[in-house]
Amino acid sequence: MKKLTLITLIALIAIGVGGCNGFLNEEPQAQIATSNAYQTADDASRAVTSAYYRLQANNWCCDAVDRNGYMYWVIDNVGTDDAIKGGESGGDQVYAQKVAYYTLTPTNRTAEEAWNNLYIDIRYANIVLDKLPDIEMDSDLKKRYMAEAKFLRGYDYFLLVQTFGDVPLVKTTDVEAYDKKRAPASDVLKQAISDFKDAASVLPTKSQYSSEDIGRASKGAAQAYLGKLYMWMGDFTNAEDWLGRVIDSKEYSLATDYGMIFTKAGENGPGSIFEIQYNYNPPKTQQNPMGVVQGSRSMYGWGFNAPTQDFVDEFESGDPRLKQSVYENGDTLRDGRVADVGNSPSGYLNYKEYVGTSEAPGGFFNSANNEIMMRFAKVLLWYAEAANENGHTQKALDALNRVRKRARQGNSNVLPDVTVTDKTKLRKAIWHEERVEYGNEYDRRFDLLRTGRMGDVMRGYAQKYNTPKGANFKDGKNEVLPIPAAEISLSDGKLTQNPGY
Amino acid sequence: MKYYRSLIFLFGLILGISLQANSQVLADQMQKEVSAFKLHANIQLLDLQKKVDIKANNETLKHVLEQIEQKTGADLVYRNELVDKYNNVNINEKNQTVKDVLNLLLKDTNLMYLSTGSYIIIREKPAPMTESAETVSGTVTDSKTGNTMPGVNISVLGTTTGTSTDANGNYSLSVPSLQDTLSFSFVGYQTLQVPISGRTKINVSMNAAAISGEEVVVVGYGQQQHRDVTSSISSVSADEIANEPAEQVAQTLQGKVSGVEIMQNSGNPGSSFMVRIRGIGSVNDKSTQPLYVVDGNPMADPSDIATSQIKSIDVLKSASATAIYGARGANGVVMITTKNGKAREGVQFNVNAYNGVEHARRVPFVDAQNYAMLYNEALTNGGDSPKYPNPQQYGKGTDWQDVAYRPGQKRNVNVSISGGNDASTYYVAGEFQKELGVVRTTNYDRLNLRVNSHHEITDYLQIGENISFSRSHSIGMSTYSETSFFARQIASAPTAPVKNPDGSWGQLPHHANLEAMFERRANEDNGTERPVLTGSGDIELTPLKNLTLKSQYNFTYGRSMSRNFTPEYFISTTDRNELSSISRSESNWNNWDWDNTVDYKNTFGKHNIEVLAGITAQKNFTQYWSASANTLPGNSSQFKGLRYLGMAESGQSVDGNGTGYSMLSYLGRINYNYNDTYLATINYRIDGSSKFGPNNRYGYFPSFSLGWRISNESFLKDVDFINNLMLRGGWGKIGNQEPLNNYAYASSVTRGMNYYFNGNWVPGQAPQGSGNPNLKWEAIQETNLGLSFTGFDNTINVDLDYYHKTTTDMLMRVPIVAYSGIVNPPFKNSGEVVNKGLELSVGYQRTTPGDFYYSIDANVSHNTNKVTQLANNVDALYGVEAGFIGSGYLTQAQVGQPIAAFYGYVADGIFQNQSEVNNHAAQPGAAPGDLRFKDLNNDGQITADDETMIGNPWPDYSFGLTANFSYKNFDLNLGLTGQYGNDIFAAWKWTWYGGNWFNYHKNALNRWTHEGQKTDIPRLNINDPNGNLRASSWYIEDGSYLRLNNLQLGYTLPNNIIQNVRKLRIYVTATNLLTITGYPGQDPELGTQTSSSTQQQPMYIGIDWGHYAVPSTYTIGINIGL
Repeated sequence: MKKLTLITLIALIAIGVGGCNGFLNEEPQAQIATSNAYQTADDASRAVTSAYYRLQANNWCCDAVDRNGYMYWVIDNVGTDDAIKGGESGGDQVYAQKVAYYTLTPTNRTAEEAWNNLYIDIRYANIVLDKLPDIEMDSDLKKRYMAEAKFLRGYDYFLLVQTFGDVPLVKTTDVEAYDKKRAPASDVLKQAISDFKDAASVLPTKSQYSSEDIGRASKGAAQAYLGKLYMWMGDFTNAEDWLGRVIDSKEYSLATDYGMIFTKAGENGPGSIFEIQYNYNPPKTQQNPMGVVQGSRSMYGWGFNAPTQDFVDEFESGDPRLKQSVYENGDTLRDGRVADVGNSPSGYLNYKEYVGTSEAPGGFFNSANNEIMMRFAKVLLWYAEAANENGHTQKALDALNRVRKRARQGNSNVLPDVTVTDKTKLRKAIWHEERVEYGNEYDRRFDLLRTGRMGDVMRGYAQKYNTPKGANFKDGKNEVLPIPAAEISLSDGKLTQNPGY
Repeated sequence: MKYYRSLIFLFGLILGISLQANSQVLADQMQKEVSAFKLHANIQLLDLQKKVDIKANNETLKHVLEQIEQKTGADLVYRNELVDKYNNVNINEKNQTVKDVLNLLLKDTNLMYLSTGSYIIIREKPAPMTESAETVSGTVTDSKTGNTMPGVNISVLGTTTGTSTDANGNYSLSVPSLQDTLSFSFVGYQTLQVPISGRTKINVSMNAAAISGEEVVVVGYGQQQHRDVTSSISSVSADEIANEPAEQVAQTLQGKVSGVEIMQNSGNPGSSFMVRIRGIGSVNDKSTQPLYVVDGNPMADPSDIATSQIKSIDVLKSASATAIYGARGANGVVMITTKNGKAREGVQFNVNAYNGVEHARRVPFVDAQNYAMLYNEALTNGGDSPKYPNPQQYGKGTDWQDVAYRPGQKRNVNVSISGGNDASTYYVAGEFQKELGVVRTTNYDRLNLRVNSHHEITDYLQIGENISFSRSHSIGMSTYSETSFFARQIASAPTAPVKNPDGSWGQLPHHANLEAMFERRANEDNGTERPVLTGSGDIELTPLKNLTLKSQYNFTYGRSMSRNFTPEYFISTTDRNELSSISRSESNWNNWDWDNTVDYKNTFGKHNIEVLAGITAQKNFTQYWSASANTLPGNSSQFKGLRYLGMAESGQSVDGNGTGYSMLSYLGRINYNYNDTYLATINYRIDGSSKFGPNNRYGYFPSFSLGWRISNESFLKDVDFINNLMLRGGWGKIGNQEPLNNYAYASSVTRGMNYYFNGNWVPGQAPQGSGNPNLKWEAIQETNLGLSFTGFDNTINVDLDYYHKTTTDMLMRVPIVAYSGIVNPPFKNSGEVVNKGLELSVGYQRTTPGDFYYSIDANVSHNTNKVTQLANNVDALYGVEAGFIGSGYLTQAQVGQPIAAFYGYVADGIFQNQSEVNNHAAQPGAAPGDLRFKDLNNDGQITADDETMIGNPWPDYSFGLTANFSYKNFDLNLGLTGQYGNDIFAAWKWTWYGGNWFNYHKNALNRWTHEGQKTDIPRLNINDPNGNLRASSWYIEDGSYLRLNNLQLGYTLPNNIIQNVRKLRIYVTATNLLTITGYPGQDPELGTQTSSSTQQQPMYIGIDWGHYAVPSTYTIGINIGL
């Protein structure tokens, strides 16, 4: 009996041990191995989508790393004379206030998130470019996907140069050791130009896309960004050429109703060239926080990005766009509500980000209006500017007046056609038109920097309004944001800091 | 209501059982004496009737008695000096009963034997009766359990007169004089000397001699006598935790164990605890928690254990102690042993119940008029216009803490029945507890049921099981962040009313109306339910003498289910919900572990050796699913029966995943001691884990410890005051894999990176990181040196330990350059952390002749923590981000600094006037009244380069003290805990000293307003152009404190008052009664945040946003023993 029990136990242990062969081989659960993730056309589609997904990452503030976005509203609006930071007070979103005051340091979140977001997106675009060649699928679709990825990579690098100057240039995902130095901005732009050109040559036009693909990068978008990039470089010949191609394509026209452009109903409208797409459709809602961020603290939002008096004063008298760009106390808004701008420091809020009651069925926190990054009016005005610089005055006037005509919205008593032909005066007229036409649409900084006006305008603003906003702008320093401190430390000093930071 | 019903049900159950037990007793009342006698007679039979072969040739009597013990398992009890003088015993008997053998052996001695049932006592034959007319009688009981004690030796001091107590603990003794003194002695108990002082009836209760070193400690896969431990182990017994109103295991250890830092994470009922044994060696959360082993089951969660069911807790601290748990012992092991029945003790029925109240700690906020005045001032200073005209009109306003807090409640009832006979023992227990937190809606309840039993089937086969079921339900409140409930809601503007005169909700400028929120929550039906079944079954074989084979199967099967219902509601245009919604989620885990061990133990002359070898296999698997939907039927806010996913009409969404790992380990241990003087333990363990790639799956972890019992050496043998003196030392290497994801070696893509094109949803996926197939085990190497001393008649014991612990190959995600685009950097073996420390614990216990018993245990420990190396050119790992404060990170792990040291500017007072501003380094935005920051690099401007380490969250010393006093029927117990030298980052200053959205702390009334003012609070400025609120040493406060953690006064009713009640004790307890600290915040006891995917918890230490502080509780309770 005793022996029997003993033998049983020993046998049990032996089984226990013997049964352990392969015991430690656990199949990963609920995961798709990277090695299996790039096999089919569907996989290719998913890879491309991930690169678009970064566009609508959280562009308002500071989220987890995988959700961070490029804070356009901080860098491009609040950082200029178009908007005051707003919010509860100066201390609310202090990193943004520091951008507005040009007192930001290398640990500022705005710089960090911009840097991180753009490089994550570059990686996702690079994955598409690395992996798709080996996937067996429809070759035209594959080419289009790769062209979309190139467009997005060009978009990211162009933005990186605008934001930071010289930056590391990463073109594949095969980089094992990340020990790069900052590439000169001109090299990075060269890469962006090549990406945009490749994209422009392959991508379908907007009208060639089926309705469910609207929102993807199109030929027109690639051409428009190429033109924008040449504007940045001051290469007006190429700018005029590429922006002209967008105009000549007849793919785009100016929507009749200026105010409609910024509503849910106006999304992907006739003038829309590239928009960040959002949608409310629970549970798969992709919400755009800008509606709440820029909404009134007294109505439904947090009151950030308050348009300045200076911006309001830029409008010519009777310009209908003013009341479609900003609102103030007592205005009746398009959903019939009477505006209360709360504690807006300027007394104005940005109407372009206003979300009407019917546009937010899931409540304002779930509002999901698109964010328009490139539209036809911008192309026309930059074209006008380039044409004027190139001496093509009439072309410049035509494009400029096309924008003003729409702006007039049928009221012939306002916004008369510009007729001035003096290059300098016409340039000023176009600059003026740029500011009012697409104010607080994230291109004021671009315009001021590329035309060398930034320092003077910002310091002038500070002086005029007796505010610290802009007073600290230092030429030769504040044109770019600091490279994130952590990044320099991680690079073991291979990355250098921008001067002055 | 539901609670009462369950309670009544439980009571009914208990009552039913107890009545039945009692009626049994009543029915047998008439024959009580007889049956009791019979019972014991049977037992005597069992021991005395056992057959034994015994052969001795001129051997010592002691040796022969030892043989009897070994061969029969009988417990013989005797004083060495009595038997030592008989050293030429000759006997040769075969198959004789113990009784006969003893009769033979003792025939020619002046010794006799006496069986008590539990023991056979060898003692001197009573001296012939002297002519004495006086007789003293009484009963001897155990002071803690109230059980009567048979077999206690009683002698008259200075004479040979003596006797023993009988089976019922009664004695009767003729004494020469009523002025003599009686001495009561019993093995394992403190000898008690009681002057008769003319009395004829003397009942005494005896105290277990806790410091004798005889008690057993539970080590991995076995146990050891405490005095033989050569590594570092601290023990806490059931007595020490009895009756503390402790919900969680960790709470019972607070202040009782040296080298262990224990903090409650929040005042949320059922909150978990932060437990750090000997500092932390990693920046990863999971790898800083100790392993909890309950009755040998290494997969139990401490939150599922009822403290009333615990018999003892042994904390294995040094690597040489934890090494037997190899990969899982890296942060110490907490060995929990639950209670079991005792053979021959009869049925023990115990009930303990307490009920109490809890009080919140409140923040002294200013009232509405001061709030309005201060806010206006901040606005004006910032160039804005004042918001509140005529601040006085607001008067006192609303203190939102009145809305938030309520008197909390804490109740507990636990019952147990235990007992057994020689073959089987059992312990069946139940506990129900409920806590209503001091913050409205927060609550926690838990039911624990346990059945433990042990059976000797034959003399070579034993089986046993421990099974526990627990079910908890909790509703908590977020804490630990600037946006948490606390920082936000209790500091809402006091100017707003709860309700307007017209009955509508008061509208707050920055926050939701708290009362409205609570009314809504009351209807939300949220919470987390956690049913867990855990336990083990074991089989033990003794096929040969000294050889034990044991197989134990452990399992844990549990679920954590959350539900959330949000009704449609309208509080204001900004605070409303138009779609009712419901969500459900569940995690369930199914873990098992199978341990097979072989143990061989023998003595060869003076060599004692024990060898253990084993194999363990473990598998863990967890699944998760969740589902949510919205648009429930319109009246679902009234009818709970409508709140099901299937009732919802839109927005259906599901999610789910699963993850698991397995481990296979081989272990071995040798315990050796020579003559009880030179001791050694050697451990070796090989661990294999599926978390590593196939190349590096196995880790090899050796350890040893040595002990030298100096007190056994001839030169100390005659030193009377030393009972035990041992020098201990050891070294060990242990592994750690906890930081890793289960599949950290593999690369995978993340789904959910979707995008809408013109309203059409398109799925996307991409790899956010990459796997590292070359990962290997993190290793911790520790050297431990210690000294144990017991002396002065076992009344004092001292333990002193020094350790040096190095974590190498730390497993962590090492940040890589962000331009790689990799979101989650792969895990890597990198980094090194050193912890060094000193631990001292001292215990003293004594009974004075006047029935006064007291014991004091105190401990103090010192630990330093330093990061010595980090990989990837990283000079600092960033911890807690402080977006709101506007700085990058509050805590960092920097080479040469402690983990999670605070980082920021150095504040250097307040600028009193403009010329001070002008004369200081350029500090943009500064004006008089603003903080001055130090220009550390002397470059004439205050920049990020002037930031530095500004504080250390780890204490220099942590200490604890427990003291027990008893006098006659009263007992008083108190527990102190504290720490010294740690810094707290008082982040609530940002919130309550001018962070814009919040009410002001009353200290803000002392903000700087004019030149020459002595204050450390800068001027209020809504725009904060100087950045006063940036992370700086201005926030750093000394977190030292001393807390009276537990104070209990008990009264035990005398035995003879109530019939049939073994013990009846009532007590009152206060916890968290008094705190001595200079810390200006709510509570210096700060745990860590308990759940967050983005923050690394160990880096989140010592940051106080104003959290849900642990409340004070006052309870009254009763213990009944039948």
